[in-house]
Amino acid sequence: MPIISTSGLTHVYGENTPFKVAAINDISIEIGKGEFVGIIGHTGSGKSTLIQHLNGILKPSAGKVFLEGKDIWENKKSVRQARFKVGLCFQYPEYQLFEESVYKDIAFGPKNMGLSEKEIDKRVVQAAEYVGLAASLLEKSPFDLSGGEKRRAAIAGVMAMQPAVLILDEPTAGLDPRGRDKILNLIKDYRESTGSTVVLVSHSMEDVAKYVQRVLVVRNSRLEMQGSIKDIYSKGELLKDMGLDVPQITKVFEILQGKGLDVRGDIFTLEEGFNELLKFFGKEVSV
Amino acid sequence: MIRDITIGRYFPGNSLLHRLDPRMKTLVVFAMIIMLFLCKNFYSLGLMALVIFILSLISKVPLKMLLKSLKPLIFIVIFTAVLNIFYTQGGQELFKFWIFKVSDKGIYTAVFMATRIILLVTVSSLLTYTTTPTSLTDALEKLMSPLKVFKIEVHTIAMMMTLALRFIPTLIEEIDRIMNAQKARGADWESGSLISRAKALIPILVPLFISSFRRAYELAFAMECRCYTGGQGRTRMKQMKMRFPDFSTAAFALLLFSAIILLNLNFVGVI
Repeated sequence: MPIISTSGLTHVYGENTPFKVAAINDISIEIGKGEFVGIIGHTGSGKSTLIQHLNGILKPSAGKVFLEGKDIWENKKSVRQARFKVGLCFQYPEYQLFEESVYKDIAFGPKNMGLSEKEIDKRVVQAAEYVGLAASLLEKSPFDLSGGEKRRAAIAGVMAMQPAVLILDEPTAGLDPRGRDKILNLIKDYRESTGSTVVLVSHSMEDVAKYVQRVLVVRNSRLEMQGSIKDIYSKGELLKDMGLDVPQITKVFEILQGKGLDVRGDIFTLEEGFNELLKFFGKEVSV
Repeated sequence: MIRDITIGRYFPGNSLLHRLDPRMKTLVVFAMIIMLFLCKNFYSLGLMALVIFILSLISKVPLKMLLKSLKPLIFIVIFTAVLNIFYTQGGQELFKFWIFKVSDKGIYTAVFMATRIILLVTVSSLLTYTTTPTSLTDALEKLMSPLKVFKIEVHTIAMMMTLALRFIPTLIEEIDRIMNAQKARGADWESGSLISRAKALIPILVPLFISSFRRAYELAFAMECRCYTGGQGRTRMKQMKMRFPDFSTAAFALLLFSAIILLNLNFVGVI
């Protein structure tokens, strides 16, 4: 049974006003337990609206959201349950920090869950560890942290709720390459050590290619296609058409292939490319 | 929820009301507000109601939108009405319980006051619905310009109003986003005691203040980068010009004013 699924999910903003727009239209998806799924789409394609339905922040205009097979809008309690079971980390999450100390801010979610003091403490320490925040930072004011640290503190605030599904909306937006890799790697490590389901929303194909197992492509409020990274990237033309791009490394290898070199064209990460080049030069492939 | 706020919201359109000079519109609406306060009986108030109703038809703003702008004031309207029912002295007593007496005059006053508030809100929302915030503040700047004599920085005040209006939707969006982010962490401000509800607002207000200051700094930098130095020597791209419809509107307002005075005189003693 999928951990989250939607059927015919539709959301209309500003109904009965002249500004009416359908942000998502008839989207049906399934996300399996423990999966690492990427959602990609151009700015304004509706991907943020889609994920805000998965934990009951937005109520669908039509269609249903199922969490572990149960409709989350069944009653008031089930919506609140969904909030804790599906952790949603918004874009630029550092703007949600408000407490006097980083510790208190990370503890906000677990506290709302009504956990015991001891359990909260355990979770905060653990979450800070996941995101690589030193213990000395926990007593600082969140506003004294650097940009990257703030972002990680905010992500820890969601992780501390220990959601079964963690959804991150553009967690790397506005970060430099090093900060970006750091965040993506910690998310990967988090998933591996907790075994939770992770959904990564991004418009950067590079991010998605390196980490996720399956990609959902959202375009013009609809689910355009879904499949493995290979499936999606093999439709490079379509991606370009959508204003998205294949990773740079893929382009390099396509050009090499075009020049008549005997290399594969379906290379999506630097690592794969490196190994392919080693193979091309007849060297040992490092694992 | 928060998106329902309609104060200062513009409704795009091309009706006669939309095309009028914003200065004239502001003046006439101001005059109509005064007239509403001058109304002494149901005849003059009825005439105002009729005129405002016709104006809203002309504006082509959907009735639903207009009603929506009244929604936040329902409480005030009801409060005033109830207060007036019980506190009006004299008149014929209709019924009585405990220490409260309800007279026909009380009910009369209550309905009168409620209608007046509703009309006040409707006529002023008609102005904001049919005028873009920028042209409204431009108009205010022009109308207030005589105050410069008293060393009042009219331009600065107008610019502050423009900026404030400009940032209302941005802030609403921001509040929406922060609320959602905290909701995702289980924040709950819809249940619990009044104190715990008030406390639950802290996670929204703190980030909101911080981002407002950040925005203000950024905006000030951006304005300075574009050589903004205040109002001195500034010219306008869009020049406002009074045309025939504007003068007819003025004439109509004068006519309406005399009608109100006449109706007030003829039927004194109704209220």
